[in-house]
Parts: sequence; structure tokens; C-alpha cells
Amino acid sequence: MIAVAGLALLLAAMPPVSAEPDTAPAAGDSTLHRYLQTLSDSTDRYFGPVAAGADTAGLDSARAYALVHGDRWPHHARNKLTLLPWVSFNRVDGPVLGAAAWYGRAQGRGELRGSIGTATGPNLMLGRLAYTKQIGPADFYWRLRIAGGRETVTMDRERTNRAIAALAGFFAGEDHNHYLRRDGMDFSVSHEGVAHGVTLAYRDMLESPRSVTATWNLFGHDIAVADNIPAQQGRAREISLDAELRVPRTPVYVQALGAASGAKIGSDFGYRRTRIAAGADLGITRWLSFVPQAEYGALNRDALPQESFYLGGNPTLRSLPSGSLGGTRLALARGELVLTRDLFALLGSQRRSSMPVLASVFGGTGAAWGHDPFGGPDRPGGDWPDDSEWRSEVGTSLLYQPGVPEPTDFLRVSIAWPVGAHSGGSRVSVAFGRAMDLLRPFER
Amino acid sequence: MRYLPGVIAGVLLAVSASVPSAIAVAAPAPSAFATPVASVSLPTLAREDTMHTAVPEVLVAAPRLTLDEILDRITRAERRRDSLLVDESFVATMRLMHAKNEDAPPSLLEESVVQVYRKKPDMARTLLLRHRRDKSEKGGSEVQVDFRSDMSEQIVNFAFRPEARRDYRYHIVGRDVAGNQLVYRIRFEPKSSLDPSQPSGTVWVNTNDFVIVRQELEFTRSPVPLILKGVDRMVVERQKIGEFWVLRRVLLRARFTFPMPRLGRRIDVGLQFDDFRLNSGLPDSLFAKATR
Repeated sequence: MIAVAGLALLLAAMPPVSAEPDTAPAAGDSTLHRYLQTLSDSTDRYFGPVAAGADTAGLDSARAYALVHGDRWPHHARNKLTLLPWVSFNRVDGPVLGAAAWYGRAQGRGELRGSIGTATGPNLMLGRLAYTKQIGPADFYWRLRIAGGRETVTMDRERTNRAIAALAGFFAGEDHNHYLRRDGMDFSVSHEGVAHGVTLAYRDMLESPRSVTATWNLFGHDIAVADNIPAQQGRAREISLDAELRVPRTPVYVQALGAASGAKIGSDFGYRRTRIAAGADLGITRWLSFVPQAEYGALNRDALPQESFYLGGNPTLRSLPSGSLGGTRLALARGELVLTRDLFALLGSQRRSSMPVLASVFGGTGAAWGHDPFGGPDRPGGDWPDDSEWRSEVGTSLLYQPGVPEPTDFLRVSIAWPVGAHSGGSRVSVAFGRAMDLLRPFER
Repeated sequence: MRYLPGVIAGVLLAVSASVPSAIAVAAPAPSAFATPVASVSLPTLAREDTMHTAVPEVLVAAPRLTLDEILDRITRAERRRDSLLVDESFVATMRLMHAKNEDAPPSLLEESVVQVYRKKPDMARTLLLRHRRDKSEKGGSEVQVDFRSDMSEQIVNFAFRPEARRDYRYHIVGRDVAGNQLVYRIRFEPKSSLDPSQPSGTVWVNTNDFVIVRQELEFTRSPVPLILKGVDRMVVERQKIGEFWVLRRVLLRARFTFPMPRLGRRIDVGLQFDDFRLNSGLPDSLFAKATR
């Protein structure tokens, strides 16, 4: 304590090595100071009292006291337990009721995050516990994650949109996802910098099929999808490498995933799964952005439904119902032109709208071919599909950008029309996601 | 000097070249000496011819700095500033004012004064010195100010970092001469408008050392429309302490989409920095309890 008190006195008595600003400025500095002061005075007038100078009376003694007696913000707990209810819904679990909690910070000693609940449909306990530890600054860090438990996951590994599917399924029976159960643990090490990210992961999970238990919805509509693709049962041990790179000096992002499973690591399955996606955010003018995206995926050896690729729904082709086509190969390309000016403002509203609505037009083409996870005949094609397998569309969206949880997230209402050989009626969809939605959100 | 814009550089060179003449004029001029001496018949003084210096004005036609060169220099200057800073301590005052509606005068919600110590590579300590809040406020959480060990002041130079160059468009909007110093005003705008949290703005760059001395930020759209109707204005000011430019103030005014329970419709945030001590040799023991 004496040493700390001494340190406090020493610091309080320590003269500033550098002088206070402009106590004796050179002539040039003085002129520059006056120039900047003129700008500051104008700022003061705009902001008023919040810009007033600080009252420094009594701070020396407060500093000496704080150095001896207190650390930073002693009245704030650094780590606190946060508890929230966990409510969810899907066709196989029915309503899920439980609680979620987290404690700590990944940047500190680590974050512990867990959830536990009952799937009331099959009367099954679900839960997951994860520990995350992050080392290094936010723009260049390493992250370790260990997690385990029992959970219901979607058959489509790339696209889940669980929140929207839960609401659509609960209110109107419009849950188009297919599900499986996973029991086990996974482990991953990630590294992320400003323009790159890499994740090496291993998982050991028992995968099992699920059956539909909730055939009802709040408004009593017929449910859109009455069955659930059965996952192939077995223990999946998989090593995967996921990498993301922003191409230097360009606005282009590239993402690649390679996952392998086989008997050598004790897996019941043997497959190689590869996926490459690229996208760019091209600002054309101050109010117009063009977002081109492309994706290619391939599943080799065991054609498992839970490792297949799915086409349809908001992130892929909006003119098709979500995940309505599947295969062991997938190719997709899409371009979207987004007007980022509020439509209300364009229509002449003088006041700044509290709910800015943006608009976009899009067009895309894609195909899923190879072994059909729905049990149908294989779709023809090798590395590329037969011409007859391509589905194309055009459409338009109204977008609301709430700014949370990510700044580029959109709530999107779209209408899309299929064109070409498979042309037909329009389809309206509601979704929440990023503008560059073919690129999976990287571990952050 | 040769890097300064052509005509301005020429004028500045002429000004600097004329300094000896100015000194000579300030000294007693020979003619001024001669007249009074003659009138009182004092002995003739020797004339010192070496006091005369006549330097002709020279117009230098140096090429103007390109925008890329200016951006490179800003990057280098900010990096140099960061590399020369080993430790710093300062007092930060965070003031939060709110207004019930958009036109009402603001009133103080809370004010916190903290002493901050930072030392490379990764030490930081924040001590709360004083905290005030509106007396009518009961309960509710306090806004906590905490500072990390990073001294690079990204809030000022985020758009001028090498990795940000591909995300922004830049152009020179003006040049101001302040005494013998030239200040560039450079505007930056994000290339893509998809991310509303990326602001556009203007920086003032002092060409003596190519450090950003002031920044004004604008958000063309609200960065969080669900909560904020818009950010009206944000200003970041720097001050010179010895050799270094450091933060002086950060001011922001924002309006909410709907009346917030504690805050009302409008909020003014002010962060003021005082009592800087730079490279004063802060002991490691100061951070013993709070190494991050």
C-alpha cells in the first residue's frame, strides 16, 4: 500500500514532459492554432454546453486517491451472468422452451455460453455449452472454441435463416427447412485479420434423422412441407478448413471451404465436401451499389443428404421455395443492383425518414445436380450441369436496414419471377440477411 | 518545401528568402543613420556593406503533390506518430447531454472524468476520478468509459490507413494558408453505400508534418436506423502537445428514431482530453492490476 501511495504521489508530482498546448508556440504554430481555434469556436456554437471545457478542480486529489484505493470503475462488475429465455419453433422440435446464458468475455478469460431447453414436440432435451477464448486485438486475433451438446440443425449447412423460418413456421406453416439431430462436440481454432480469416475445425458428432412432430400453426394453414428429409444415421468425424480472403486492392471477397470425413479418423461416413464462393461490393455512385456473387459446391464419395447442397429460397434463387432442389453439385451466380437512397426521400419527403426503405433489382441463375437428397432420380451433369438444369430468375426487393446486428443486414421483401425454360408464376418471400449472402458470415 | 504546391511553394520560398532582408531593415538602416549623424556633425561612421543582402525573388515551378502522395504521407506521418509514442497519460471527460425533443435545450445526463494511463505494447489503466449524473435520474446504468492500450487514434485516421484506401474515395476540397503553414482539406467518401456505418467526412491536414489535425464526419444515412434517426454532426479535434498531435475533443449529436426512456429524442456526446503527458516513462508497476 505504501508503495502504491508513493507511486500515486510520484505520478501526481510528475511534471508533464511535453508542455501544455501552445504555452509558448512558435509563430507558425500560433497562426495554425488560431486557424484551428476559429473552427473550434464554430463547433462550440453548434454543440453548445456539451463542448464546454472540463472542470479540472479537485482532480489531483481524486487521482491520488484512486491510485491508492481503487481501480477503474470499481462499481462496475467486469463479468456478469446474463440470462435470457430461449424460445424457438420448427417442424421437428415443435415449440422449444428453455433458457440461454453467458458469462465472461472472449477477450478476457473467455466466454462461456450455453442454452438448455425442451423440444416439446418429441419431448427431447436440447442444449449446448461453448467456451470461447480470443487472443489479440480485434483486427488481428486468434480464437479458440470448444463446444458440445445436443442440437437440431438444418440439413443445408450453408443457409439456415432459422429466425425467419421459425416465425413463418409458427404463424403460417411456412417452414421449408429440413433438419437433423447432432450429439457431440466440436473444436475450432480461428485466425482473423483485416482482410483474411482462417478456421481449422474438427467435429465428432452422432448424426440422426428427425421426424415431423408439429403439423400445426397458429393460423391453421396447411403446412408447406409435411415431411423431413431423413439424415443418414452415423458418427460423423470431420476435419474442415474454412478460409476467407479479401483480394488486395479490390472490393472482392473469396471464401473457400474444404471438409473431409473418412474411416481413417473413425468416421462412419466418407466424403469430401468443397465449396467456393466469391462476391464483391461495387459502389457505382453515391446511391447505387452493384453486388455480384457466385458459388460452386461439390460433394464427392458418400452422397449424404446432410452434406448435400440445396437450391431455392432467399440466399440462392428467390423464385424457388427454400431448399426445394438439392444435389451433390451446385452452381449459382447472382447480381443485384441496390439503390441505397431512402425511397421516401426520393418521393419528395422533406423530413428524414425514421424508417428508410431501400430498393433493389436482381437477376440470377443456378443449378443443383447429381444425386438427389429428396430421393428422386439423379440430375444429369458432370462438373457442370446439363443445360436443362439451369434455373434463372429476375426480381425486385424492398429493403429495410435496421443496422443491427450487423450494419449491412437487411430485412428483405422480394418478388421474383422465374425466366427461361422453367418460367412460371412469381413468388414473394421475406428474409433477413446480408447483401453478400452467398458468402457465409465468417467467425467473428 | 519542394513538395509544396507550385505557386504557393514559390510564394513561401520568396517569403523565406526575404527574411535576411527583413532583418536588415529592422536593424538601423544606413540612410537612417546618415541623416541624424550629419545633422549633429558627429564623426562619420563606417558603413558596413556586408549588412546589405539582396536576394531576388524566385518563382519556383515545383510540381504539385498528387493526392496519392498526400495520402501516402498522411499514412506515414500517422504511423510515425504512433511509433514514437511509448506511453501517455491524460484526463478524459465524457459528457452526455440529452433533450426531451429535437428543439429543446440539452441538459446534463451524466459526466465522467477518468485518468487514463497507456503504455506500449499492451498496458492500459483507467481510473474513475469523478462521476456526476442528473439528480432526477434514479437507478439506470451508467455509461462506462474505458480505454484500450492502442495509441494510434483510429477515430481520426481510420479512413487513411493503408487497408482503408480501397474502401474510400478521396479528393482535395481546399488548401488554406495559416501563417507559413499550408493546411489541406481532404474529403473522403466510402466507395460503397451499402454499409451505413461507414461515414464520409473531411480532414484537415497540416502539411508541416502531414498529420490530421481535425476531422468532421457525416453519415448520409443513419448507421442504426432502428434506434437512431440520424447523426447530425460529428467532429474530432486534435491538439499539439510538444511534437505530437493528440486528441482534443470528440463531439457528436444524434437523434433517436423514437423517444428513448432515459434519453429523450436527442443526445449530445462530448469527449474531452486534457492534461496530456507523453513519453513520461510510466512505470510498469502502475499497470500491475490492470494489464490487458
